[in-house]
Amino acid sequence: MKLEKAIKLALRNISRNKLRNSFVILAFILAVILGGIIIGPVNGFKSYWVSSIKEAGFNAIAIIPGKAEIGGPGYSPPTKYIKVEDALYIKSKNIKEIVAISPIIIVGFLIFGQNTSSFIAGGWEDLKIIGEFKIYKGRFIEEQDKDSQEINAVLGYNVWKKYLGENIDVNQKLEVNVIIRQNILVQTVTVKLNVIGLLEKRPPVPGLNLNPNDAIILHLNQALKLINFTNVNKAIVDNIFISANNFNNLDFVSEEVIKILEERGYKKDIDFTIVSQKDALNVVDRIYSQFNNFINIIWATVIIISSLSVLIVMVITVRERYREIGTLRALGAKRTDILMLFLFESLILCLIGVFIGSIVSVFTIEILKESFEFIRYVTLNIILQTYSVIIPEIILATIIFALYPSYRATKIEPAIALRYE
Amino acid sequence: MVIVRLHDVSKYYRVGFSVVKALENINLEIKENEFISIVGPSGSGKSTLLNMIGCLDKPTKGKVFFKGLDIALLSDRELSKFRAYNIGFIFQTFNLIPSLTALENVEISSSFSNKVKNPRERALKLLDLVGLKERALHRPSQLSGGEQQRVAIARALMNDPEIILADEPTGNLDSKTAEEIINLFLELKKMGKTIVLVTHNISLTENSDRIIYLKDGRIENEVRKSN
Repeated sequence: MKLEKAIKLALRNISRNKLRNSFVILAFILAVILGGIIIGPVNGFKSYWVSSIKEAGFNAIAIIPGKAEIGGPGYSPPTKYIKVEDALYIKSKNIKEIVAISPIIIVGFLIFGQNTSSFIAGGWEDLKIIGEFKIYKGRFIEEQDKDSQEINAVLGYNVWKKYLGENIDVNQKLEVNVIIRQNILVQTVTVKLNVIGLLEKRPPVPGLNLNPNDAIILHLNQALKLINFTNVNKAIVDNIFISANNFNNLDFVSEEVIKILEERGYKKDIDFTIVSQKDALNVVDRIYSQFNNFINIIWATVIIISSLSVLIVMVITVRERYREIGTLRALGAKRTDILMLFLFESLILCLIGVFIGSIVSVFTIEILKESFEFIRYVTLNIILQTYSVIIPEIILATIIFALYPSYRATKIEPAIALRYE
Repeated sequence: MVIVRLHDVSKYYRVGFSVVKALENINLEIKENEFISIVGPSGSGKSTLLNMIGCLDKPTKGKVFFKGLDIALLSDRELSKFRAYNIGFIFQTFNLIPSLTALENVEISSSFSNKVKNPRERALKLLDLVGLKERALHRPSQLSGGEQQRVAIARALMNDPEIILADEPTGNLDSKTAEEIINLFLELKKMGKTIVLVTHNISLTENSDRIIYLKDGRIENEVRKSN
């Protein structure tokens, strides 16, 4: 039987049982919509995290004092604290793969009504490279700022939006109330800052509690002055950030830094932990794969249910068309013609459902984008990628499930089928 | 020339623990352009015999030769092709495909053979022959019983078969329509076709060349008519 004739006959037969076949098509529509709006956003969610991590500075590693496991059980403090002198020592090694290094010390939090999310951090000028900060106005902190009489400050996007209002000039004075820590003492002081630069908004760093947009960045020495700490080299750091010259050298840089710190008597995973964006990506991958396994189970169930609807309908159809099968066989139809006929019927039902479902789910995702930020990352490309996987899966499942009734139809003996009442 | 020859054909069916002898030692020759009627009471084995002649079933014992070819030697696939090229079937319940129009029902036979060059044109010609050209685009549900049977006859003729096998073709029709159908068969005979008609209505057999009486799966009597 010619392909076009078989398809035409299959289409005609589908139109014979509109109501019943509509339910099968509906099952496929729902399957594709579910696939589209579950798997698509999961892929979008991953893409959102990956792009956030990439935007956060792809080539950086952080040395965290103590034992910290991203996505792991938690944090335990070190037995020996990392100090500024350790950052200086790493810098003195002149490792060519390291392009920027800066310790970070958080010296206080700003009081602005009930909101204390803004903070003052001290670091070196390399922080600009590490954090990929872009200057909106003025300049970033430089080496010369460490001896300045005034406290020169660079304001993160949220800070200058909140504190400067309409007046967004640099070289203006800004008085802020700050809760500072001095060893174990906490006190509130008023600090007069000289604003030397304003930063552009940048994406938050995934996994970091402090948002760089909420930072007031001072030169490390000046930040320590605020807490009356003069022996800069002995100051305990919150982190040391290091940028590698490219992503592939992150592991090498990490290994070198571990060697240097161990040389200085620190124990890895006790006194310090090294975390890179690579680790963060691995965590995203790990979370994604676990979530993905769960989604796959749901998806498999959805496929099985929709394919089962084909199986049930086709079993009924074969039984109903017993005599018709006998007639076609008497007219000369081969067993393969009968097989193709019922497979085409199942496939056409599936494809109609897939087509309508795809269009509906694309529109649904567009509507959901208004409400959920991570769905904004479900681009047309991700949708197409998702469908390039789920649609062949649905079609394959349909063929597998339709094979049984179709095969049964081929086994019908024409002489018996023609006697069938 | 002999088209079909049945040599000592028996067909047994197992029903539960017992064996039903549907046909027993049938010997029969059907010649070209013959109009044969097979008559007998219900359960006498008429349809089983027709299935043997039409290569829809294989005998338990004996052989069926079609133009000298032993059909037992053909695979299922070859048998399908053989039926498409050589045999036209007409059934009591017409067996048209409900979703197809009269024209498409006639055309569908050509899907299983490459015998017909222009199926649409031939199907229309055949519908014209059976007087249904005007009803070509009607579905079976829009046709009367007689019209449906005429579509089935056109369908049986589509591949220009050697032999036409009709199993109680007038069983579901009124006597006037039945007569029209029999007249149509006579027309086909005039066109050179071989016709085997199964019926339990003796009155329909008067124009046959030969009448074969079946009883309990055996040929009880055979009457040749000289026209």
